[in-house]
Amino acid sequence: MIELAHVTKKYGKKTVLDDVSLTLEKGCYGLLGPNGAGKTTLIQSTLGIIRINKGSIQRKKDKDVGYLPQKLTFFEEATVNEMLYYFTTVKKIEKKDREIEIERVLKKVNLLEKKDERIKKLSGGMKQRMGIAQAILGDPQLIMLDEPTVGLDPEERKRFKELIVNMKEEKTVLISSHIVSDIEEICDRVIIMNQGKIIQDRALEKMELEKYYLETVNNIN
Amino acid sequence: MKTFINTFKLFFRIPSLFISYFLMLLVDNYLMYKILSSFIGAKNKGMVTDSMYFYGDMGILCFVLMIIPIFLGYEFLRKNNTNSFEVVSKISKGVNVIKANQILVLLLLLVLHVINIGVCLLIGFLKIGTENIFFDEIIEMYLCDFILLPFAALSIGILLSRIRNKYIGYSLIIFVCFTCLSTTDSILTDIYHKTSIPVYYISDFCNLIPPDITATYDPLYGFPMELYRVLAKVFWIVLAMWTEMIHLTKGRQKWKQYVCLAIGSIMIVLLGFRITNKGSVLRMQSYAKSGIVETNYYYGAEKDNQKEKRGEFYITNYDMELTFSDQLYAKVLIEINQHTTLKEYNFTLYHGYHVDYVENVNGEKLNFVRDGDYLTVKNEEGKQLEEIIIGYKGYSSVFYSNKKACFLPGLFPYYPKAGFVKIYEDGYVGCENEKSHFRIKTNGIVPYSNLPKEGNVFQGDAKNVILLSGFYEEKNIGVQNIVYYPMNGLSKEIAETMENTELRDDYKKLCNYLGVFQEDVFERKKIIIIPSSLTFNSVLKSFYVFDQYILLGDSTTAYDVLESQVPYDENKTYLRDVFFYFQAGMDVDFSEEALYSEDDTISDYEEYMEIHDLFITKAKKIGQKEVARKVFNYLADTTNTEKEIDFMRNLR
Ligand SMILES: Nc1ncnc2c1ncn2[C@@H]1O[C@H](COP(=O)(O)OP(=O)(O)OP(=O)(O)O)[C@@H](O)[C@H]1O
Ligand SMILES: [Mg+2]
Repeated sequence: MIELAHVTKKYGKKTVLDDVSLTLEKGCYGLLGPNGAGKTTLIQSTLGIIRINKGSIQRKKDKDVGYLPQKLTFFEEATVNEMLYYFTTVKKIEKKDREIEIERVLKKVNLLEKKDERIKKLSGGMKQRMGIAQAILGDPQLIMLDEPTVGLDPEERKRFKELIVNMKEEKTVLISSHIVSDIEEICDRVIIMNQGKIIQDRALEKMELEKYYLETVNNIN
Repeated sequence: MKTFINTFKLFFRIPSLFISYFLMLLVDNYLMYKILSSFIGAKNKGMVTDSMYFYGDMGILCFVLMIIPIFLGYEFLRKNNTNSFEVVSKISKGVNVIKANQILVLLLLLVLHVINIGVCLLIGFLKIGTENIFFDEIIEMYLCDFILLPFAALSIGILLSRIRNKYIGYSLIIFVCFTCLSTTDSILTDIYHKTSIPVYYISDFCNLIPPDITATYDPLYGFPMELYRVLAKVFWIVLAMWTEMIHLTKGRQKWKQYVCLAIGSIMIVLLGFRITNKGSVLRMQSYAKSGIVETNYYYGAEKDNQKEKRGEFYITNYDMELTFSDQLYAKVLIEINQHTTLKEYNFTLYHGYHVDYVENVNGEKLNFVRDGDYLTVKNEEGKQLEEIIIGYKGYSSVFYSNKKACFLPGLFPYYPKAGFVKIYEDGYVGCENEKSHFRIKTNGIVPYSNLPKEGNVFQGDAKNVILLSGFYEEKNIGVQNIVYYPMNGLSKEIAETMENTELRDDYKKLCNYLGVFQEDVFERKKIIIIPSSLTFNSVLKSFYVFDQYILLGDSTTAYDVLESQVPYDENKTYLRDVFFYFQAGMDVDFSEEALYSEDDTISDYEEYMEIHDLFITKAKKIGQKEVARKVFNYLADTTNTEKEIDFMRNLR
């Protein structure tokens, strides 16, 4: 369980997160919001990548985390397998399990045949999938994916959704996006952000999220 | 191990990296081959002469050893900052294994290169033999320049890789490489002299490669291998390790962070302090504190900081203890002979020496005033004062004195001399003092001296004392001793011209021509050939005669010897210049000499030109031998105060 209480983050004079309070438990959360709303900042603050100015964040530190950054860069000259091997070492996966684990995640993102390809030869969507593979490596309990569906074709998008649905039962998954349909099908709850504030945090039942989201954001703006 | 191998592969998949690495291997092996074959060639011809020049190639080798590891470190690690892996490893609280492995790979590659050079040297030594005079130097150089240098350079690269903007990064690399060139020294020196901000310290930190010795080469000193350059390298290594440690301990316990921060900071400050306080080093070129720049600046034309006041007392006895380490540390006991007690005792002691204390034999402190090259010891109460003890330390940038070598000629006041003495006119003045008894004990090195030596103690009577140490050799010709520098071909040749009395014969001929009786200045004196670096620094003239020894520059002619016999008079400089320009009027065909007055391109007909023209016309009219003799007599006669232009006009 993760608890954010009155979190404020400023860049200079600009307030990017404005008194945000949030509780994350098991299940899948969708983080919706227009460009510049503060989604990435919220994720990075939660993971401790950037420092916050005010408020507190409580997270079980020893819990392993999977994180897909919005901007992905890898060593272009390394192969997919080598790069993932580096990730297994930093995630402290036992030596004997490393190869098996890499194969498992590559299968999940449908990238197994590209295992020995140099990263610079991958397409944008393939790189994105490799990013996802890296995030789910080691089967972490907390997974935060920043715009995971960018660059994926419909086929892969479908595969991604299946992947999340299959594991969301025992984990906390947070997916940021500004595309409503991505979130609609797989998430249990939706958090809508705008201008650094959480304007909605509610269960996602059978509702027309698209329409609802547009209305809320437009009303405020 | 697998991550290491993967990283190793990664290195060799990046063209800019492996190409520069192989380039470094190629260039350095080629240069090593060139250097060693020239040493071997020199050995087979039975001479070590001028092998020093091949060190020039080592300069290029070191430059390569600096620039490429900086680039490798920077380029390989730069990608880490923006890499997603950096973020993920941060979240997982793990070490950035990629970075750690990258550094390990680079270290391994550099170690391989260092071994490569070591093997070259080993082969070289097997062929040249280890007993040659360069052995110690080359070993030192290997440790300092070939082993430490690439790792220091790598550290700079690692540090720079933290800069995200690659254009700033590349500019800084270029800046660092640029600062080790002598051109930068002159720019920094200019800034220093204009603003008096000591910006030249910047180059101390970046000067990792040895100075360009083809320009600053000193065959007596040998290869400059100074502590400050070793420490500058250690500085960068420590700084890089320190920053990496701080990043590693981030998020760990606070006390660990603080301990790390504290130890690192202390080391860096200490190193920085020692690097900027170099002590006595051989540093010429255009560096602000080099011999040529500093001397010119200190005794520059517009400055009048010299005094002349002698003869109030004499020093009968010197008892000195000189310690040579990073600079000269001296404790000098002076015995004074006088009839009346003075209120003030004046001494001359070079301004680079800082006087720590002055006391009498009972250990009571005496007040003193230090003013440039001068030291005045106060004796306000007018007590009987026969012995004074002076403690001082310091260095001169020309007349170096350290653990490796020293060149302290007696004309230079490295020990206190009685009275205020002018030490610099158009070069260092070859002034002599009254005869004193000397007892000099040296620590650190046992130099050569004009005084008889017993262990590390020199004792005897002399007007002044020279101490020199380094790569010199002594040669006996009959009763005469010659000190020369085996690394320098010219100095060997001069030693030979002295042996076959060429110079002495020329000088005799010249004296006969001028009709003057000159005692044989070379008689029974030790002849010390002045290292070309010192004449290069232009602060020494090419010939000095003292009571026990002679300083002889490497291009000294009979005219220089003659010139040393003519006392300097600032009112006779034009005629003096003209006289020696025409080589004392001896072997010159004056009918071929052009007059300034007949040159249409000259608009200002100055005094010098008139004297020059008068010399020619009078020589044609009266006879050149006649003119030469009269002019020489005029120049040598200190009582004749007639203006030089008038003298020439009235000459008949
Ligand atoms: N390092 C930074 N310095 C200054 N301002 C920043 C920085 N990072 C983000 N911002 C600002 O913070 C605001 C929120 O940025 P953030 O990246 O969190 O938005 P986002 O919701 O993720 O947007 P997007 O959908 O485009 O990814 C933006 O207005 C952005 O300009
Ligand atoms: Mg974002």
